[in-house]
Amino acid sequence: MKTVPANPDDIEFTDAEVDMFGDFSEAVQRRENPDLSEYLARCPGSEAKMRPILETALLLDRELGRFRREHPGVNLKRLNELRRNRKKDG
Amino acid sequence: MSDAELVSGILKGTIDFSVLFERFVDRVSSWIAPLVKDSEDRRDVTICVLTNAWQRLGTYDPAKGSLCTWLYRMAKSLAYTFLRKKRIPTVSMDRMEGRREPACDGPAHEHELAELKRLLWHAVGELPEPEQVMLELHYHDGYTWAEAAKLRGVSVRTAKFHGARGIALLQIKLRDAKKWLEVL
Repeated sequence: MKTVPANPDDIEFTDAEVDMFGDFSEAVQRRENPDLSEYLARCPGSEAKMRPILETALLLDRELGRFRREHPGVNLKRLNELRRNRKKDG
Repeated sequence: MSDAELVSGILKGTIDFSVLFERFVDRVSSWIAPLVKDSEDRRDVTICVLTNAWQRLGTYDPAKGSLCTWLYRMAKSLAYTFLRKKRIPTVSMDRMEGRREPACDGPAHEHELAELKRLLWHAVGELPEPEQVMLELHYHDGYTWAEAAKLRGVSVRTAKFHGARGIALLQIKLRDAKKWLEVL
């Protein structure tokens, strides 16, 4: 059973997995409350690998979406640049 | 541009908030530095102060003092709030990794939630540039994969792949999103 590899360099997706992820995340974006199991059923044998990916996608949508609603004028890219620069500066 | 013109422009929508952000970010950081020693915590509090300022900019009254003073007071207040929260016992790594059920109410839950969010934002900030930008375009800015692909000059499949890879990298860092979803 495939799972998400621990090493980032080993992350690979089949075309079907990429399409399933893309369709699921756009359904989340459209607030359609997609059924995670239905999407996972499109890629038999990939559930163990893709379920945590889709759950993390939901988490990200929820948190970044909340941030966008609460701080619509804040440029997220700039915030992350600031975080990176400050980290470099120590 | 004076501070008064800056505030007026932001409130009218003719000036981007990032101008105020750039103007004050270093000062806010230096104001709270004596209170918040840890550099990463200081970054987070600084960003919190400036986003809070954006939300409350409409309440700023120039007759009561300069923008600088208003921000200074807000920065100190939020820094003290941060320090008070830090006194709550920290969450164990076991709990962070989802090996135990999280608490569901009370101050400890709030603290845990704040920690989870901090970890998430930190993880997003650490992603490689292609994955980070693609996730921001899709999840924060609300673009479809096709729109994000066009903006970045890549194929739709590449956009989705970067999105999926970014999520996988986050998943490696965050381990157990299902439990997070229950908490959030």
